[in-house]
Amino acid sequence: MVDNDAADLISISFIDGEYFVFDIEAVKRLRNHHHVAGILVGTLPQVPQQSTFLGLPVQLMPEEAALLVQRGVARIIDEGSSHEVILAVDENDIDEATAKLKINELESTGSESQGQLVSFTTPAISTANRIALSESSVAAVYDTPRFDVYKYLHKRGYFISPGLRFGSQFLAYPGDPLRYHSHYLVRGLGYGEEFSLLELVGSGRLGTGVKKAWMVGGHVPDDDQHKLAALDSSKIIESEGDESIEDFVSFCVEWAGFG
Amino acid sequence: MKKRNLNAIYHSPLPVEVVALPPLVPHNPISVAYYVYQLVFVPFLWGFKRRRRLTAYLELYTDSVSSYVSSIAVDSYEDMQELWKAGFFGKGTQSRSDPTWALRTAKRLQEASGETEIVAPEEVTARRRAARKRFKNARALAEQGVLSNPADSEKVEANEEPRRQKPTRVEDLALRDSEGNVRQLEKLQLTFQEAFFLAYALDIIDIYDDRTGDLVTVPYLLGLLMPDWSPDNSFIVNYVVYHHYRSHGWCVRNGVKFGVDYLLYRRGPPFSHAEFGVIVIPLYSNESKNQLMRRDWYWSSGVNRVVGGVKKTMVLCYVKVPDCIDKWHTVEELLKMYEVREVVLRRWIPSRNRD
Repeated sequence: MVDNDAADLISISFIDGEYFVFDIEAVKRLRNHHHVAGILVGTLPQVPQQSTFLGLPVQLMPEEAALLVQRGVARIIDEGSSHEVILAVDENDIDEATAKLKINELESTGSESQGQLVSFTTPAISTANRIALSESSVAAVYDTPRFDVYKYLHKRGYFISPGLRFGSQFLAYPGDPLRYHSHYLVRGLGYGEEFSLLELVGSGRLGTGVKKAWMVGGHVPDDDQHKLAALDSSKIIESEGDESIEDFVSFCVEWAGFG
Repeated sequence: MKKRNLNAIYHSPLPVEVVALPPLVPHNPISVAYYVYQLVFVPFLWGFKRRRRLTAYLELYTDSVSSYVSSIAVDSYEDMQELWKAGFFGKGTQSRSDPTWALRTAKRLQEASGETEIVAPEEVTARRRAARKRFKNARALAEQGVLSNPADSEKVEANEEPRRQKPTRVEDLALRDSEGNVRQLEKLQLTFQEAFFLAYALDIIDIYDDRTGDLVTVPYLLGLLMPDWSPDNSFIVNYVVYHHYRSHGWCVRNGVKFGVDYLLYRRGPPFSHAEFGVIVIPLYSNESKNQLMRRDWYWSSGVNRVVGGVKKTMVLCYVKVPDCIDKWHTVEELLKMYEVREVVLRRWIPSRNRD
């Protein structure tokens, strides 16, 4: 599985349906070069209340993992089946000494190919022995309205975090969340998908109450693009390079509070 | 500023009059006679002089296929006042809730009236906002250190109270009738549930078709409001909930401004804020349909935050929908087929709910 490019790939561990990054260098790279911040979820033993300050690993949303894989900067490691492979190796080695040798061997090969990564995961497991999943494992996310809106905002340089506490799918930050408050509560919808006016009112009100705007947007299917162009030419976003976002409409709702 | 006596203005919780019957002593013929007189004749006699029935107009929107009710409104000033003061029904089309447009306009058109009695919620809000703005300006100035210089602070004082010259606008002239009174351009718009409750449950309102002038009877009104006659029609499901809470003595008002279906007030908007925000959820016997109608966590989290942010409790009101309903059911039979049950949902944060 390991080839030359693979050394540069960020390994995203897929554990029980969730995506994690355990490597601090990878986390830095994600944050600095790919504006993917993720959420720190690991507890720090030295911080007494393990709720505010958290450490590695970083958990990624499925959309973040999918985007990174789609761009070819990361790969998904299936930790569950990798673990079983390692266990199978250990069971065959009845002799304790040879088992230790095997582990050492694994460690050394690991440190050669991706040294730092090994030290942050279980020392016995090297990346060489882990099972990387193909792109199809995240492809289910690609065609969802959530992913469309995620990609749309991410492409424009927004940092995006989960938005459940504000009743939205995402929060969009104009820069690193450590420096900025979020500007938008984001809701991705299918084009032509109906939603209730009560949701519009409630979300608009909530957004304004926390000094944000509620943003709703959807990907325009190809056969509707000419209609949109007729409506307003400025709403068509020109395609850039290989990215597949050509057309997306979005609106912001704020609570005016007249009367 | 004079505080109004709310109990005197809004003395009646519903626009109906209740007559207490005298105590009945069975072995005393005089008591029995008096009781029968009170029970039978007084309401009959009162029927003529008691309260006149209220009048509302129904506006139909008709397309090629069918007709829909587009609005039901009351336009007589007395009826509007009565509906608002007894039960807080409807909403003034030019006002936030209480139909006070004419009062406010008259006040605005008058020359510098100075400190007057506050009658409309809009005025309360305007005054609060003005006070807040003054406070913010003063604070900003204090932060700049301008107030440390007495000469400047006097200047600020002078700027604070600009005498507003009211410009006479051309369109204002059209607001007065020939006698100089402000014309009543406002209507009290009723929600369909309110209108149906007044027509069916209280039977105190006559609804007329706006175009033909015909009286709309209760069964006909029901047919207009739920044209498809499906058991989970949004009108009937919402009406069941409306009727349910009105029957329990709550003042029920539309909750769209907080992203919920209904707001429950203990007595009414002038007395206190609404305590509960009600969300109506139809519940089907068919579980797969329930799954189809399921709402997500984002919705729940968002609504709960809006409702919780204004110190209300979120009530999920489940309405059990019958499998089928028939047109020959009376309204009473129809309502008996629905069941209402409630669940309160609250955001609970361990660290904030400890004390």
